[in-house]
Amino acid sequence: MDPAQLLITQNRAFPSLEYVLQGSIQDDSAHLLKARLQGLCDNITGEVEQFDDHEIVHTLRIPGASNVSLRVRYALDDMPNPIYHLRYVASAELDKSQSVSVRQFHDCCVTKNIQSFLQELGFMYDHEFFAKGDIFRKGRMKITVAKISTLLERNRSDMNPMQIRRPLTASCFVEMSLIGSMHDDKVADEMKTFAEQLKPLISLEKIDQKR
Amino acid sequence: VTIEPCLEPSVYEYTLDGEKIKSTQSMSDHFTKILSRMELNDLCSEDSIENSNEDERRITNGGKNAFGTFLEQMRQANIEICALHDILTLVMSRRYFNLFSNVADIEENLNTGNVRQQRDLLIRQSQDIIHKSWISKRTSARQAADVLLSSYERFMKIINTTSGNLENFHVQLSNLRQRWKIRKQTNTNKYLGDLSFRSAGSFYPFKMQFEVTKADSHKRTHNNSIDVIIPEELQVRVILKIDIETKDGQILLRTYSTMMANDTIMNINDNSYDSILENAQRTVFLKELFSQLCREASDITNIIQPTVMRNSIKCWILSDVMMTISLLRTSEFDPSIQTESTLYGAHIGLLEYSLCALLRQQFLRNFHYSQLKPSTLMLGVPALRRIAGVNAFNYNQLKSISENKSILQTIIELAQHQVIRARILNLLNNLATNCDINMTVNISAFSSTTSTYGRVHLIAPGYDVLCRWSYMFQIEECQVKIQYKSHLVEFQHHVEEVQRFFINQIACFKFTIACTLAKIFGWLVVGSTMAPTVGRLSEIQFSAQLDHPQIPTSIGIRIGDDLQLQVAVRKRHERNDDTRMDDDSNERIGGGTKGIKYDSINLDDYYGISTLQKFEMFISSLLHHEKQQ
Repeated sequence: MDPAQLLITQNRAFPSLEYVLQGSIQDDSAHLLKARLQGLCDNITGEVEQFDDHEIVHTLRIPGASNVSLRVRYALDDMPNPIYHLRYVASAELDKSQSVSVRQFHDCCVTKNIQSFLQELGFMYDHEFFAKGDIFRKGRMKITVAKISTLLERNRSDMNPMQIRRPLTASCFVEMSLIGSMHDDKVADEMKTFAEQLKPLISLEKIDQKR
Repeated sequence: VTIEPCLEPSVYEYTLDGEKIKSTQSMSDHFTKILSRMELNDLCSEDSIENSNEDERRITNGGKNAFGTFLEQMRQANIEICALHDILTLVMSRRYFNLFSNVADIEENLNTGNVRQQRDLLIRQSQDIIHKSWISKRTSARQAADVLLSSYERFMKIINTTSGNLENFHVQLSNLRQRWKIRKQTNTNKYLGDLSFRSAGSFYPFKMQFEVTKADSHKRTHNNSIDVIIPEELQVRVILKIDIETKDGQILLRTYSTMMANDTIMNINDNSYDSILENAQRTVFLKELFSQLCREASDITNIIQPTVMRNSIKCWILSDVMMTISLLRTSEFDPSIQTESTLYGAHIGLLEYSLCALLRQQFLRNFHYSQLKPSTLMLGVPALRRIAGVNAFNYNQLKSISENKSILQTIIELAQHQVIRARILNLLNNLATNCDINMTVNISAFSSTTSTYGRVHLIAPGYDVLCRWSYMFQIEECQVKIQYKSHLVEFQHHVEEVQRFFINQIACFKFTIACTLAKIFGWLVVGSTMAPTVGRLSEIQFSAQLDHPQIPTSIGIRIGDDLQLQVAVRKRHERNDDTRMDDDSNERIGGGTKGIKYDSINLDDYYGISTLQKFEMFISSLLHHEKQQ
C-alpha cells in the first residue's frame, strides 16, 4: 500500500478508547471549580465555551444477552440543523491497576432522522436528559462541567428548545475524558496528575459500576 | 441597618481582672462606630467609647497621609482578627482552652416568695461559680499562650536562618515558577520549563525547553542559588529588520524591532534570570513570526510574489519600491549605520503589538478549533485533516480564499499604502508651499491603515467669495481617487499623474478667478481656450480675451508655464475689429503665423500684495482712465 493509504488506515484504526474520570461538585461551589479550570486549562479564545445539549438514550433489549444502548446527542443552540452525534460506549474495563476508567467507544455524526431510524431497528426510548455547562480543554483532555436536568413533562413531538427543565440534583457533573489508543501508557498518569490539581474542590474517580 | 441576626447570644466583655462589662451597644452600633472612625479625612475620633486608649488615638490622629491612616487601622483590625482566629481554633480543638456558656443573668431568675433570701443565696453561689470559672479560664489561657509563643519562636527561627542553599533554591524556584511555566520531570530531579507558545495554539516544531538547576558552587552568590540553562539556539538574540527602498536606492524606511520596550538599548549586563528568559522568549517569537512569514511567502495565492532568500523576504510592493524583511542576529547588526528615518517611541510599541496580534490570529487558525456542538464530539482534528496538515483549507475557507489575509499580505498592503500616502501628501505639501494661492489639505480622522481620506481646498487669499474649489481624495493601497465637481478620477500607480492633475487644477483655478474678477468689473469673456488635461507641463493652456463695452482696450490673460498670470493689452481701433486678422499692424515679428498682437503688461507696476490684487488694480486703472477721458 502506498504511504498515504497506510496513514489513513492507521489513523482510522487508532482512537477507539476513551479514558474517563468522573466526579461531582455542589452547585454553590461550582463557580470555584470553573475559575480554577479557567486558570489551569488552555485559553485560546479567552472565553469559556458553553454547551447546551440534549441526550436521548435508546436501548435494544435482547433476550438472553445484555442490552445495547445507543446515545443520541445534539446541541440545542445549533439550530436549525443541529449535528446529531450517535455514540456507543461499552462498560468500563474493570482493571484495578489503572488509575482511570478505560472504555471502548464508537461514534458517528448523523442527521436528525436517526431517532425514527433507531425505532425502526427496534431500539426503544429509554431515558433522556439535558446537560448544560462549560467545556475546558487542556492539550488532549476535555473537561466538562455540566448541570444535568430532565424534562418536567415528556413531550417528544414538541421540539421546542425552551422546554421547562428540572435539575436532577443540586450538583454539577464533571467529566474528564481523553481519546486515545491502546498504546498510550502515559495517558492515565497525565489525567491523574491533572485531577490532583483539582483535588480539594472535587475528586475525580473511576466509574464505579455498582453505584 | 442592623447586622446581627436574631436569637444570637449576646456578647459580654470582661476586663483583665474579671470584671464583667455588658456592652450597651449592639453589634451594628459598634460596627458603625468603627466605620465612622475610619473616615479618611478625619484626624481625630468623634465619639469616645469606653476604650479610647492610647493606641487608637495615635491611629486616628496619626499621619497626615490618609492612606497611611487607613492602612494602619486595617492592619490593627487584621492583627486582632488573626489573634481571635487563632484563639478560636485553639478553643475548637478543646485541648488547651475551654469556654463555658455565660452564666445566666441573675435578674431574670426572680421568683415570688422568699425573694430576698433566695436572691442572696443565688447571688453568692453565682459569684463563686463565676470566680472559679474565671480562675480556670485564666490557667487555660496561659497554656494556650504558651503554645502560641513556642510556635512563633519556631517560625522565627526558620525565617531568620540563612542555612544552606537548599531552602533558598526552592524559594527562588517558586518565585520563578510564578512567572514561567516550570514543571518537574517525573523520575528525575530535573525542573524543566517551557518557553513556547503552545498553549496559545502554536505548532512551531523547535525545542524550547529550559532547565533550572542548582547553581554550581562557583556561581553561587548571595542572591542566586539557581541556574537557568537555555538551549543554544535561543541564547542568541535576533532582530527583525524592515527596509523599504526605491529602485534608485533611496531608503524610505529602515526599522528594527527586537520586541523590547526600549528598542535600541540592549543591556548585556543585566543577568537576572527573568531578563534572560524574556530575551529567549523574544527570540522564539521573532523566529516563529519570521518562519510564518516565509511560509506565507511561498503561498501560491499571493498576488505579489515575494522571494525568500536565506534570511530575508524581498517583495516589490510598488513598481519601483521594494520591501525587505529580514531576521538578523545581534552579531550581524551594526547600530552605528546611519539611518535616515527611524521609527521610535509610540510607533515601535504599536508595531510590536500588531505583530503579536497577527501571529495570535495565525495561532487561532492553526487549531481549527471548531466548536464542539454537541459536547461529546472528539477534540481535535479528524484523520484526513491531520494528513492534510496545518495549512489545509476546509470547505468554507476554500470558498473565501481571497478573503483570508495572511500576515505577509497584510504587511505588504500596509507598506504599500504608507508609501503612496507619504508620497502624495509630500507632493501636496510641495504644491501648497510653492503656489501663491491658499491650498489647504485636510486629512480625515476616519482614515485607516489601508485607506486615507481627505480634502483639498483652493482659495485665493482675500478673494474667498469669488471662487472656492474643493476636491475629495481617497488614497488606497495602489490607487488614488479624486472627486471634484461631480467628476471622479482614478490614478493608478503613478504619483506624477496626480501632480500634473493638481498643477492643472491650480492653473485652471487661477484662470477662473481672474476671469471672475474681471467680470465683476464689467468685462466680458469674448473667447477662451482651456485644456482640461495635460500630458506635459509645457502644455498648460489657459487663455482668454476680455472686452469691455465701454473701453476700447482688449485684455488677454494667460496662465504661463510657471503658473503665473500673464496679462497683455491691445488697443482696438474700431469697435468690432477682433475678427480682422490680416491687419498690417498685426504682423508678428518673425512672420509666418498670423495672429493678434498684444502688448504685455508687467503687473509688478501695480500695487498689490498678490498677483490677483495687482490685476484688480490694473483693471480698475483702465476703467479709471476711460472715465477720465
